[in-house]
Amino acid sequence: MSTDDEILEMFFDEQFMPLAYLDLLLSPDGPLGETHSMSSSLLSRLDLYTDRLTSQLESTVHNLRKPTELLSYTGVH
Amino acid sequence: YLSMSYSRLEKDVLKPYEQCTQLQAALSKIHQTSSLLRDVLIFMHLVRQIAQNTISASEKEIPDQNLLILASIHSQIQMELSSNPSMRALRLVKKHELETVGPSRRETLRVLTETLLRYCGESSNPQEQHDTGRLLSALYKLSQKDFISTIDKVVQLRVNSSCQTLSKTITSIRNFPHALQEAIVQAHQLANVEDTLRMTPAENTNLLQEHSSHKKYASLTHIFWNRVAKSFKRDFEISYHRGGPVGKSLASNSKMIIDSIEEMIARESAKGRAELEQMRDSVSIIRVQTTK
Repeated sequence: MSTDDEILEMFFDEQFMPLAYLDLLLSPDGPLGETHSMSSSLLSRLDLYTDRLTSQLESTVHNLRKPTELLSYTGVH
Repeated sequence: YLSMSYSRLEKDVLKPYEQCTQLQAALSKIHQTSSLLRDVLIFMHLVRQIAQNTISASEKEIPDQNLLILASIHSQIQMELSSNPSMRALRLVKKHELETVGPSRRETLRVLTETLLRYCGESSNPQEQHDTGRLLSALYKLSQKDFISTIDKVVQLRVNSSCQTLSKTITSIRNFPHALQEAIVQAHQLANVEDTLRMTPAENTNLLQEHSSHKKYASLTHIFWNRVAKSFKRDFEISYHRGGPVGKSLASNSKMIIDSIEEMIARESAKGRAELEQMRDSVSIIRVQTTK
């Protein structure tokens, strides 16, 4: 897990609330065009995180399977 | 041996398991964030389009084309907001809904309704009926309530003007055939509106069915003649009973009145005939006198 990315860190915080976060981030007073382009770059970043975390999850699940097989094997004996 | 095995369990199972849970929780939060953000992005995009399609205040009329675009933007915004109600909790959405979307939606509805009241039924030209149909369909999608009330208004405006014209003839009954003819023209225009509504698809049916599902009658012209005949009957009977020169003139012209109604009924097409027959009842009081 990359710890250098503050935004990614945020999503690991149990207290993190998506609605409250976006409400703070999307200022109602700025020019709509700027908010729009900032939002769309954040969205592509979130897509990137999703890909990254999904593959991490897959490999972790994969690693978990191996010792489980080992355990059940030793259990039989 | 046991402690060794436990450290392996810790390393190979418990740690990765905990990691999985954390990753899953984080993924779910990212997912919630991005789906809300995606909806807000669509909302912002639509809000910006409102500005692009809004005509400056110096121009008096919004062209039909812009009106249709604005109506479509507003129906999309409505769908967007109702599919994700939590969006309304965001200050950004609240602000733009209040300052841009709301006023523009009201203005779009107002101009759409006014345009329709002006055009509706005036033409039997297929192209113009098609254009009116598109405006009607836009209004229906934007607000069913305003659609129903606009059609009701289209009918009622014609009812009012026909009632007035017919009532005036009570004191100068020679004009009655002419006034009746004018009312028939109004009814024919409503028949055009009916055709347009029937030709315009809406959900699984058409706009005429959508309108009549809220009403007792299936036909606008039926409502029209029903109201016109009732109103004329009331005024006619009051003047007739009051007697005097007006009442006498109604009595002495009764044959002409009845004949002109019959003549015009005969001239109508099958559908119009059945509906115009309601006018017979409006002068039933002299009919009784004449047949005596």
